[in-house]
Amino acid sequence: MDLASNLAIAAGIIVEILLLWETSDRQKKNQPAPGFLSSGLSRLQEVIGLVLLVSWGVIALADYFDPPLSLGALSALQSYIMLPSFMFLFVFGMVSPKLLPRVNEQTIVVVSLVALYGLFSLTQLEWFWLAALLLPALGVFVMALTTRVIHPYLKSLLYFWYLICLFIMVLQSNFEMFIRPASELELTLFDHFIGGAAGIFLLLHSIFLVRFFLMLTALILPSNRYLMTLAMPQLFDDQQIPRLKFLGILALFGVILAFNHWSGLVASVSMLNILILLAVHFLERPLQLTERL
Amino acid sequence: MKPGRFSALRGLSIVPNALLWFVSALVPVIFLFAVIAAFDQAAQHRGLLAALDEHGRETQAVISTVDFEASRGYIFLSYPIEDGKDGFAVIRTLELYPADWLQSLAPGQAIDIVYVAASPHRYNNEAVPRAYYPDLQRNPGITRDIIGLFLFFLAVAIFRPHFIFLGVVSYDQITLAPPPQKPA
Repeated sequence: MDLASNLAIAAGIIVEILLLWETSDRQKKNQPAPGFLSSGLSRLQEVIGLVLLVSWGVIALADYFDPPLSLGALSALQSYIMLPSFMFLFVFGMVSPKLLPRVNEQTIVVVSLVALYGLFSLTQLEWFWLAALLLPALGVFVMALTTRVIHPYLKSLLYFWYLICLFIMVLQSNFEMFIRPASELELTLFDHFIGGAAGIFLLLHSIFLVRFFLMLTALILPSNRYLMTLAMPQLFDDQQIPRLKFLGILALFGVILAFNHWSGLVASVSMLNILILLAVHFLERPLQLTERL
Repeated sequence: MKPGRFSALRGLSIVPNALLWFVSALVPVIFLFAVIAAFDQAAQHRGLLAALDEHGRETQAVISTVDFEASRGYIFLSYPIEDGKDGFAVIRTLELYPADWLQSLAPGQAIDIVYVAASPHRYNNEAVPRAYYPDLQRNPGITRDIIGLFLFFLAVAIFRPHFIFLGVVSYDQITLAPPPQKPA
């Protein structure tokens, strides 16, 4: 990988961390600092925009001049990217998972369908695996169309399913760019950028999946169950967008996938990653939220 | 019983509980490492099986060394190649094989192996005994120490889950006993 590709991955990681921070702040209803340029934007949103502009400027310059760097220098650069990233993943995935976005049934439906689409397009599964994957997805879909507030224990199972779907995404695609030679993959700088952003997001959730598995296992003892009741409001959101709008968004996502499959505009894995990030960070944002009950 | 002895016994009785609390603080980190180690072992095992499937060759090899201690145990083997020289292969992670078969092995003994041909393949010179190749294909390749670590910390997490929830649930909300149920 050349300098521009490495910078694109680093930029993707930084932008995604800022987005996680911004989403977490917004979901916790923290009063954001007003922006310098517009009162409609928070300061953090302006910082994200600035980082995007500056990073893509630097990436374009690196791509244009393509400085001849030795393998040692490129390896050192990758280490400088990976080391802080793994520190971030460990701290915010295992020690203090404060940056995990809160999700609802609708987000889980989108993530499930995207992950399963990716899985089915890559591999043929036996009927029992198909059933094991499709039944929970169908169950979540039905719940996304209803307005009942579900019990924290059921929420914890849905959240576990959501984490498994993200882990499926990690397994099926996301390490390719780090493992296989760049010449085989023919990825663009945009693919590297999305790979960096989605990589940090998916790995963060994969590490939390380990912890959440322990949390779920602890439910075996009745005396521990109150802990899950306290934990789920931090991870799960009861607000959902109206049913028709949700179905419209789902159809739009389907059209985007079909168009990309037909046109080959963006690498398939990048498109799946974009849709997952959109669902988690932006699904409820442009629409008026509907309070349940 | 004298009062002094009684308080010493009471003091001793809290040691297991204190130890359990101490170990429970380590659960999130060590369990994560156990999971990563298990994934790594399983991935290495699948990688070796894939390499054997694609580039595997069968031959009869002679045992040079059997070491049950170093690097989870290994058997170093040599086999003849075309130009009169000897090729070398190694069978690793001996706990994946039956103990009585391992005990029957001795230097100089001939066994049938399937091995990965030399470079540039990954896992080159790694081998498995021909007789146990089908069993190995059904084995996940995770060693007993990692499974033990996994189960031990899972059990600790069930009995002392408070540190796992810390960070998601605030410190003030965590109580050692569950809060009383509200009357209906």
